[in-house]
Amino acid sequence: MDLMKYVRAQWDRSGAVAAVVFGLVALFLGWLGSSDTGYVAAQMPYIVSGGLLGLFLLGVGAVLWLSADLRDEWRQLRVLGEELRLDNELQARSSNLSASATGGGTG
Amino acid sequence: MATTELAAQVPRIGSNATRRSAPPSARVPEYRFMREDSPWRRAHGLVTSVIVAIGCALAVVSWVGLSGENTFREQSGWLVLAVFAAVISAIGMSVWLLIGFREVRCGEREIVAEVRRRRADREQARRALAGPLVDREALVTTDQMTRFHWADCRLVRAKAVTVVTRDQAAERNLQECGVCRP
Repeated sequence: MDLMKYVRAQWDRSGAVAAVVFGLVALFLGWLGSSDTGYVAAQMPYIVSGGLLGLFLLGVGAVLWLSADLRDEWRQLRVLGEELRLDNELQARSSNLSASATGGGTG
Repeated sequence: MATTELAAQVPRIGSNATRRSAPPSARVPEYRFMREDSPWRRAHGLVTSVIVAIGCALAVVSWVGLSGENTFREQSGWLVLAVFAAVISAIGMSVWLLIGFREVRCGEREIVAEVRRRRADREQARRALAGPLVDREALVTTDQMTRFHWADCRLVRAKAVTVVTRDQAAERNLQECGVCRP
Protein backbone atom coordinates (compact mmCIF):
# COMPACT_ATOMS: atom_id res chain seq x y z
CA MET A 1 0.00 0.00 0.00
CA ASP A 2 1.09 3.53 -0.71
CA LEU A 3 2.67 4.91 2.47
CA MET A 4 1.17 8.39 2.16
CA LYS A 5 -2.27 6.94 1.56
CA TYR A 6 -1.89 4.80 4.67
CA VAL A 7 -0.68 7.79 6.72
CA ARG A 8 -3.70 9.85 5.62
CA ALA A 9 -6.17 7.07 6.29
CA GLN A 10 -4.61 6.08 9.62
CA TRP A 11 -3.47 9.50 10.76
CA ASP A 12 -4.00 8.68 14.43
CA ARG A 13 -1.98 5.48 14.33
CA SER A 14 0.72 7.18 12.27
CA GLY A 15 0.79 9.99 14.81
CA ALA A 16 1.06 7.44 17.59
CA VAL A 17 4.06 5.78 15.98
CA ALA A 18 5.70 9.17 15.35
CA ALA A 19 5.09 10.25 18.96
CA VAL A 20 6.60 7.03 20.31
CA VAL A 21 9.64 7.39 18.06
CA PHE A 22 10.16 11.03 19.07
CA GLY A 23 9.63 10.06 22.71
CA LEU A 24 12.33 7.43 22.51
CA VAL A 25 14.65 9.93 20.80
CA ALA A 26 13.97 12.48 23.56
CA LEU A 27 14.71 9.88 26.23
CA PHE A 28 17.94 8.94 24.49
CA LEU A 29 19.03 12.58 24.12
CA GLY A 30 18.19 13.23 27.76
CA TRP A 31 20.27 10.26 28.79
CA LEU A 32 23.16 11.44 26.55
CA GLY A 33 23.07 14.93 28.06
CA SER A 34 22.85 13.81 31.66
CA SER A 35 25.55 11.18 31.26
CA ASP A 36 28.07 13.85 30.20
CA THR A 37 28.28 15.29 33.69
CA GLY A 38 28.47 13.88 37.18
CA TYR A 39 27.06 17.05 38.69
CA VAL A 40 23.44 16.38 39.72
CA ALA A 41 22.31 20.00 39.33
CA ALA A 42 23.56 19.97 35.74
CA GLN A 43 21.75 16.69 35.03
CA MET A 44 18.36 17.94 36.20
CA PRO A 45 17.47 20.04 33.09
CA TYR A 46 18.19 17.02 30.90
CA ILE A 47 16.03 14.82 33.10
CA VAL A 48 13.14 17.29 32.87
CA SER A 49 13.47 18.14 29.20
CA GLY A 50 14.58 14.75 27.90
CA GLY A 51 13.05 12.38 30.43
CA LEU A 52 9.71 14.02 31.07
CA LEU A 53 9.26 15.08 27.45
CA GLY A 54 10.07 11.54 26.35
CA LEU A 55 7.55 10.06 28.78
CA PHE A 56 4.97 12.64 27.71
CA LEU A 57 5.42 11.73 24.04
CA LEU A 58 5.19 8.02 24.84
CA GLY A 59 1.91 8.75 26.64
CA VAL A 60 0.64 10.76 23.66
CA GLY A 61 1.49 7.82 21.40
CA ALA A 62 -0.43 5.39 23.59
CA VAL A 63 -3.43 7.73 23.77
CA LEU A 64 -3.49 8.21 20.00
CA TRP A 65 -3.31 4.48 19.38
CA LEU A 66 -6.11 3.73 21.85
CA SER A 67 -8.17 6.56 20.36
CA ALA A 68 -7.81 4.95 16.94
CA ASP A 69 -9.04 1.65 18.39
CA LEU A 70 -12.02 3.42 19.97
CA ARG A 71 -12.86 5.09 16.65
CA ASP A 72 -12.78 1.65 15.01
CA GLU A 73 -15.20 0.35 17.65
CA TRP A 74 -17.40 3.38 17.10
CA ARG A 75 -17.57 2.62 13.36
CA GLN A 76 -18.38 -0.99 14.18
CA LEU A 77 -21.26 0.18 16.36
CA ARG A 78 -22.53 2.19 13.43
CA VAL A 79 -22.40 -0.92 11.22
CA LEU A 80 -24.37 -2.85 13.86
CA GLY A 81 -26.92 -0.04 14.05
CA GLU A 82 -27.35 -0.11 10.27
CA GLU A 83 -27.83 -3.89 10.40
CA LEU A 84 -30.53 -3.47 13.04
CA ARG A 85 -32.25 -0.85 10.93
CA LEU A 86 -32.19 -3.09 7.84
CA ASP A 87 -33.48 -6.00 9.91
CA ASN A 88 -36.24 -3.77 11.18
CA GLU A 89 -37.30 -2.78 7.68
CA LEU A 90 -37.19 -6.37 6.43
CA GLN A 91 -39.31 -7.47 9.39
CA ALA A 92 -41.86 -4.74 8.70
CA ARG A 93 -42.00 -5.81 5.06
CA SER A 94 -42.42 -9.51 5.83
CA SER A 95 -45.09 -8.86 8.48
CA ASN A 96 -47.03 -6.76 6.01
CA LEU A 97 -46.68 -9.45 3.34
CA SER A 98 -47.82 -12.24 5.66
CA ALA A 99 -50.71 -10.12 6.90
CA SER A 100 -51.80 -9.60 3.28
CA ALA A 101 -51.36 -13.26 2.37
CA THR A 102 -53.18 -14.77 5.38
CA GLY A 103 -55.88 -12.20 5.98
CA GLY A 104 -59.38 -13.74 6.16
CA GLY A 105 -58.40 -17.43 6.05
CA THR A 106 -60.69 -19.90 7.81
CA GLY A 107 -58.59 -23.09 7.85
CA MET B 1 -53.34 -12.23 -5.27
CA ALA B 2 -51.13 -11.15 -8.16
CA THR B 3 -47.49 -10.47 -7.43
CA THR B 4 -47.75 -6.90 -8.63
CA GLU B 5 -50.71 -6.23 -6.37
CA LEU B 6 -48.87 -7.77 -3.46
CA ALA B 7 -45.77 -5.72 -4.19
CA ALA B 8 -47.86 -2.58 -4.40
CA GLN B 9 -49.02 -3.18 -0.84
CA VAL B 10 -45.46 -3.36 0.47
CA PRO B 11 -44.65 0.07 1.84
CA ARG B 12 -41.51 1.80 0.67
CA ILE B 13 -38.59 1.83 3.06
CA GLY B 14 -38.72 4.90 5.28
CA SER B 15 -42.23 5.84 4.23
CA ASN B 16 -44.83 6.90 6.75
CA ALA B 17 -46.71 3.67 6.13
CA THR B 18 -43.72 1.63 7.30
CA ARG B 19 -43.32 3.73 10.37
CA ARG B 20 -46.99 3.47 11.21
CA SER B 21 -47.17 -0.30 10.69
CA ALA B 22 -44.11 -1.16 12.75
CA PRO B 23 -44.66 -1.51 16.49
CA PRO B 24 -43.01 1.33 18.44
CA SER B 25 -40.44 -0.91 20.11
CA ALA B 26 -39.34 -2.38 16.75
CA ARG B 27 -38.12 0.98 15.47
CA VAL B 28 -34.40 1.65 15.72
CA PRO B 29 -33.87 4.82 17.73
CA GLU B 30 -31.46 7.38 16.35
CA TYR B 31 -28.39 6.50 18.40
CA ARG B 32 -25.46 8.86 18.80
CA PHE B 33 -23.09 6.48 17.04
CA MET B 34 -25.39 6.59 14.00
CA ARG B 35 -25.23 10.37 13.82
CA GLU B 36 -21.67 11.27 14.73
CA ASP B 37 -18.32 10.15 13.38
CA SER B 38 -16.42 10.07 16.63
CA PRO B 39 -17.11 9.10 20.24
CA TRP B 40 -15.78 12.51 21.33
CA ARG B 41 -17.64 15.78 21.10
CA ARG B 42 -15.97 19.12 20.49
CA ALA B 43 -16.30 19.98 24.18
CA HIS B 44 -14.43 16.83 25.17
CA GLY B 45 -11.53 17.80 22.92
CA LEU B 46 -11.57 21.30 24.32
CA VAL B 47 -11.46 20.16 27.96
CA THR B 48 -8.69 17.67 27.25
CA SER B 49 -6.66 20.22 25.30
CA VAL B 50 -6.93 22.77 28.08
CA ILE B 51 -5.80 20.30 30.75
CA VAL B 52 -2.88 19.01 28.66
CA ALA B 53 -1.91 22.57 27.69
CA ILE B 54 -1.82 23.56 31.37
CA GLY B 55 0.41 20.56 32.07
CA CYS B 56 2.74 21.45 29.19
CA ALA B 57 2.92 25.10 30.25
CA LEU B 58 3.81 24.10 33.81
CA ALA B 59 6.44 21.71 32.45
CA VAL B 60 8.06 24.49 30.41
CA VAL B 61 7.96 26.85 33.40
CA SER B 62 9.54 24.21 35.62
CA TRP B 63 12.25 23.47 33.05
CA VAL B 64 13.12 27.16 32.70
CA GLY B 65 13.15 27.66 36.47
CA LEU B 66 15.14 24.51 37.06
CA SER B 67 17.76 25.46 34.46
CA GLY B 68 18.35 28.78 36.23
CA GLU B 69 19.31 27.19 39.55
CA ASN B 70 22.79 25.98 40.42
CA THR B 71 22.21 23.48 43.23
CA PHE B 72 20.00 20.46 43.53
CA ARG B 73 18.52 21.85 46.73
CA GLU B 74 17.29 24.93 44.83
CA GLN B 75 16.11 22.82 41.91
CA SER B 76 14.03 20.42 43.98
CA GLY B 77 10.99 22.74 44.06
CA TRP B 78 11.02 23.07 40.29
CA LEU B 79 11.44 19.31 39.97
CA VAL B 80 8.29 18.79 42.01
CA LEU B 81 6.51 21.25 39.72
CA ALA B 82 7.72 19.29 36.67
CA VAL B 83 6.35 16.05 38.11
CA PHE B 84 3.08 17.84 38.92
CA ALA B 85 2.94 19.07 35.30
CA ALA B 86 3.44 15.53 34.03
CA VAL B 87 0.64 14.27 36.28
CA ILE B 88 -1.71 16.99 35.01
CA SER B 89 -0.94 16.08 31.40
CA ALA B 90 -1.52 12.41 32.18
CA ILE B 91 -4.86 13.27 33.79
CA GLY B 92 -5.87 15.22 30.67
CA MET B 93 -5.06 12.31 28.37
CA SER B 94 -6.77 9.86 30.72
CA VAL B 95 -9.92 11.99 30.67
CA TRP B 96 -9.89 11.81 26.87
CA LEU B 97 -9.58 8.03 26.90
CA LEU B 98 -12.13 7.54 29.68
CA ILE B 99 -14.69 9.61 27.77
CA GLY B 100 -14.04 7.54 24.65
CA PHE B 101 -14.38 4.23 26.49
CA ARG B 102 -17.54 5.43 28.22
CA GLU B 103 -19.20 6.51 24.98
CA VAL B 104 -18.34 3.25 23.22
CA ARG B 105 -19.63 1.25 26.19
CA CYS B 106 -22.87 3.26 26.14
CA GLY B 107 -23.25 2.45 22.44
CA GLU B 108 -22.66 -1.24 23.08
CA ARG B 109 -25.23 -1.24 25.88
CA GLU B 110 -27.77 0.43 23.59
CA ILE B 111 -27.22 -2.19 20.89
CA VAL B 112 -27.58 -5.04 23.38
CA ALA B 113 -30.73 -3.46 24.84
CA GLU B 114 -32.20 -3.10 21.33
CA VAL B 115 -31.49 -6.75 20.49
CA ARG B 116 -33.02 -7.90 23.79
CA ARG B 117 -36.07 -5.70 23.23
CA ARG B 118 -36.57 -7.22 19.79
CA ARG B 119 -36.23 -10.74 21.14
CA ALA B 120 -38.80 -9.96 23.83
CA ASP B 121 -41.14 -8.50 21.20
CA ARG B 122 -40.83 -11.56 19.00
CA GLU B 123 -41.39 -13.87 21.93
CA GLN B 124 -44.44 -11.87 22.93
CA ALA B 125 -45.79 -11.96 19.38
CA ARG B 126 -45.22 -15.71 19.18
CA ARG B 127 -47.08 -16.24 22.45
CA ALA B 128 -49.91 -14.03 21.26
CA LEU B 129 -50.21 -16.09 18.08
CA ALA B 130 -50.22 -19.41 19.90
CA GLY B 131 -52.60 -18.24 22.61
CA PRO B 132 -51.70 -17.62 26.21
CA LEU B 133 -52.56 -21.03 27.62
CA VAL B 134 -51.88 -23.26 24.64
CA ASP B 135 -48.58 -25.07 24.28
CA ARG B 136 -46.81 -24.21 21.04
CA GLU B 137 -46.61 -27.87 20.03
CA ALA B 138 -50.20 -28.69 20.95
CA LEU B 139 -52.77 -29.62 18.30
CA VAL B 140 -55.68 -27.22 18.12
CA THR B 141 -58.88 -26.61 16.21
CA THR B 142 -62.02 -24.53 16.48
CA ASP B 143 -65.69 -25.52 16.35
CA GLN B 144 -66.08 -24.29 12.78
CA MET B 145 -62.89 -25.84 11.39
CA THR B 146 -62.68 -29.10 9.50
CA ARG B 147 -58.91 -29.39 10.07
CA PHE B 148 -56.56 -29.45 13.03
CA HIS B 149 -53.34 -27.43 13.29
CA TRP B 150 -50.23 -26.85 15.34
CA ALA B 151 -50.93 -24.13 17.89
CA ASP B 152 -48.54 -21.72 16.15
CA CYS B 153 -50.04 -22.27 12.71
CA ARG B 154 -50.81 -18.98 10.97
CA LEU B 155 -54.30 -20.19 10.10
CA VAL B 156 -55.36 -20.29 13.76
CA ARG B 157 -53.76 -16.97 14.56
CA ALA B 158 -55.92 -14.86 16.90
CA LYS B 159 -58.72 -17.44 16.94
CA ALA B 160 -60.38 -19.05 19.93
CA VAL B 161 -58.95 -22.55 19.72
CA THR B 162 -59.39 -25.74 21.70
CA VAL B 163 -56.69 -28.32 22.19
CA VAL B 164 -57.35 -31.74 20.67
CA THR B 165 -55.45 -35.01 20.59
CA ARG B 166 -54.96 -36.96 17.39
CA ASP B 167 -57.54 -39.49 18.55
CA GLN B 168 -60.10 -36.75 19.19
CA ALA B 169 -59.33 -35.26 15.78
CA ALA B 170 -59.87 -38.67 14.17
CA GLU B 171 -63.17 -39.11 16.04
CA ARG B 172 -64.37 -35.74 14.76
CA ASN B 173 -63.12 -36.56 11.22
CA LEU B 174 -60.78 -33.57 11.27
CA GLN B 175 -58.14 -33.52 8.58
CA GLU B 176 -54.54 -32.32 8.89
CA CYS B 177 -53.83 -28.71 8.03
CA GLY B 178 -52.07 -28.40 4.70
CA VAL B 179 -50.03 -25.41 5.85
CA CYS B 180 -48.49 -26.47 9.18
CA ARG B 181 -48.80 -30.25 8.48
CA PRO B 182 -49.16 -31.47 12.07
